[in-house]
Amino acid sequence: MTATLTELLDPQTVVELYAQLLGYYAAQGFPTQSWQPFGVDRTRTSAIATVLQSISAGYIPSITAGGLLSYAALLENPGWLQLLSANNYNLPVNEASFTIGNILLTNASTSPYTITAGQLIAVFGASGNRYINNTGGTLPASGTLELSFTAENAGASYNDPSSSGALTLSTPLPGVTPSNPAGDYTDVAHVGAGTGTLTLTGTPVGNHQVLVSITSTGAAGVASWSYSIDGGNYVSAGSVDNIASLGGYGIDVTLTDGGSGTSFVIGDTYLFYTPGSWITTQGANTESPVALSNRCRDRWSTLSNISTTGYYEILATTTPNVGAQVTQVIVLPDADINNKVNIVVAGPEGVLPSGTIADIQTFIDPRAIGTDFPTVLSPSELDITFAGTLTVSAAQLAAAQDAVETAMNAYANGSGINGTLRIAQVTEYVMEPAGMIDASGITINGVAANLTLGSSTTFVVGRFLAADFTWVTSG
Amino acid sequence: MAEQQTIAQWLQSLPISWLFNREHGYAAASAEGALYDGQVTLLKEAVKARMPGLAPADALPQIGGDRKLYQGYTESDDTFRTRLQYAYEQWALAGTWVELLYQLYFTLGFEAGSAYIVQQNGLAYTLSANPEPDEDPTPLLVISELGLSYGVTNPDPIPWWTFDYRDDLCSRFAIVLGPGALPPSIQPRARATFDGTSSSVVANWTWGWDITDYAVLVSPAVTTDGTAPVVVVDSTANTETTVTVNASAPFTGYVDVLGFVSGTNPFASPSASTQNMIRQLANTWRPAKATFMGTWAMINGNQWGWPISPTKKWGDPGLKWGASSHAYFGP
Repeated sequence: MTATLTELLDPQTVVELYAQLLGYYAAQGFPTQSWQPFGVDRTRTSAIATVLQSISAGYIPSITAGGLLSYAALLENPGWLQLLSANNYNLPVNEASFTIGNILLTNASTSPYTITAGQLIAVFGASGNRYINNTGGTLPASGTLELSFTAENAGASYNDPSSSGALTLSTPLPGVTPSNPAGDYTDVAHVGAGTGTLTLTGTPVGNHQVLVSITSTGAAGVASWSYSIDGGNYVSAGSVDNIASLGGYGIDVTLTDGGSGTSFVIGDTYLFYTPGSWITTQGANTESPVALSNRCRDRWSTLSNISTTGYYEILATTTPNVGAQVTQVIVLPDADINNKVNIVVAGPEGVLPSGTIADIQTFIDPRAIGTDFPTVLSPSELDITFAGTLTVSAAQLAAAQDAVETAMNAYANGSGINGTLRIAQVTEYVMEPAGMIDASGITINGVAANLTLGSSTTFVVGRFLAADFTWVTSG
Repeated sequence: MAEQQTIAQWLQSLPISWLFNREHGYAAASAEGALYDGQVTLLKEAVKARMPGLAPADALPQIGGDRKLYQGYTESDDTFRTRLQYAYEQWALAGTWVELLYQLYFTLGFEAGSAYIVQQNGLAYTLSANPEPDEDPTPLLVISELGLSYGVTNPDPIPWWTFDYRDDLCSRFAIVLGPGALPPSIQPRARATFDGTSSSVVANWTWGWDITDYAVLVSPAVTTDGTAPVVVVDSTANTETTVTVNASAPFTGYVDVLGFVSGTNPFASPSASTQNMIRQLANTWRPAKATFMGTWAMINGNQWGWPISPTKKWGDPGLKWGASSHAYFGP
């Protein structure tokens, strides 16, 4: 009789194999009932069962699971899934990537420094993470120099925050201090052939994503352009060469001609965020088994000549060099424009750098099918505060507070684009630590109800702000 | 290919005459060889578990999940195996209405001619016949024009489906069920057949539930023995797959029942899981730029613009206000 999947996935035990072998002996006429405990026959039977179990229990469930995405993703050894994805779907796993960011060096001394790539190691005090400069330059006396630094190791744990206070050089230069300010804006990521650039000034207010699209070719003041703020509908700016306070957010944009060639070309896009970030490339962990298996499933959509959501999902997560950074993606048709497809992507730390978004857009544009107008966007971020009254054993208070803070941080930041944060899940998490006795009055952002982020027209990820619980001790 | 020698046979054939040429040695080789052969069989089955034509039945939903194909509640294992093997052909048509109709048929039992996709641009799509699992459904596609909209002209009125005031979003679409009997996934039914020997019969639902506290409408008993039993449903015995009908006395005949979720229209009441599956299929197989607007189940009568009839006009004989009903399930 053919074994079921459940049976194949269930490792056989020594006892089961021992019983099977005894049965076979009995069927052959051996007097197994009279075999003495610890006698030669029973010991030999037990030895065979033990050896066989150590082999079969290790391989049969793994071979079974290794051919099925859902189960391969659950195996302790990720190699099974990676073999399956690489060989059957031609999708190698997205390897972990390194965080890269800009650190500003300020020289208070009267001596200039010539810095070579690899010379400096910057250390973030809060995390202990170390970064090594990948560019060099001359740091003038009483001056500043911005250099690009790469994390010592790959992974999402290296995405340190901007304006981190305790930043030092473990390879000190007398009088030189490092800092990683966010700045008002990110770099402007340009997709297209134009030589023109955007100059950003003003006093921006709030977190915003701005996408500028050139709608007719020409120099600054001649070319027409439109802009979209936070994924909203495009607004025509006409053919002016600058606009003050874009959208009323204090964002001043000026089109600046390039030195040669055509400055602004129809179809070109320019993307930037405010505020900026010191990070230019977000570090990511090796693609999780669940993410890899989902990508494999999306592979099927590439067989069609018509795009489905899965098609754009796999393009976004498979973009060369940056695919690993995309840990979240949703694809939604636009609520206002018939052929516009919104591809909303985010990374392990939420919003991805503008350069990454531009890379994904550049990869997808030539692969758009038919009349599709795919637009890669970042979600906006919503601060999440959890509150309520938690009762805990007095002896476990400190440990429980730490555990709850960590759990809430992970839950809020892992909510996913347009995900739902649930009261029941919060309650479950806060009750997990040892010593927890009760939880009541749980709220998310002040409301005792589930919080659904975003909508069909808005794209939002959660960002942990606070675990503002009232702690009551008992016993 | 020659039949492969078993391990038991191999052991018995080893040239160790003092062991395997003797009765006990030969028998021991049979016993131990059987154990090893059993493991070899399991190893082979472990590999076959990923192959839709050879896998055990409980592996089929997993293989389906890998291919984003879902076995229907009433779809046989053999049919689903075929569909899994034809995943390449199905995915080659992803993003087409004909493929969405194909998936709706196999997974949810939405049959040809009573399940339509209507698009705001004035076209309705259905199948002329239920497809076979290994069949390219493209030739079965039937495209009809919907009724004219006098609010959208070019310059004359043009075929249209009106969702709302937004007449500029032609990429929107919906699933419309009816006219005719609604599929069992939308209208779960059961027939309890009494053979004269028992006053209690357990009947199978035509479509499974994900709850057991559903409500049930009971028809009068249809008898062939001249009796007139009183029949009721034993709601305490509800399961996800069966319903128990009790009669006041044994009789010969049958009782039809209709299941529904309390508080919903009893004639169109899919379970929450079924509604989620409709959404999942629509959103998996639709074009990326198209927006799914939901499902309308036309229970009876005529709605504005439905059934499709280019000749039906305002004031035609037989059309009455208020003589129709439908149920709607959101996107």
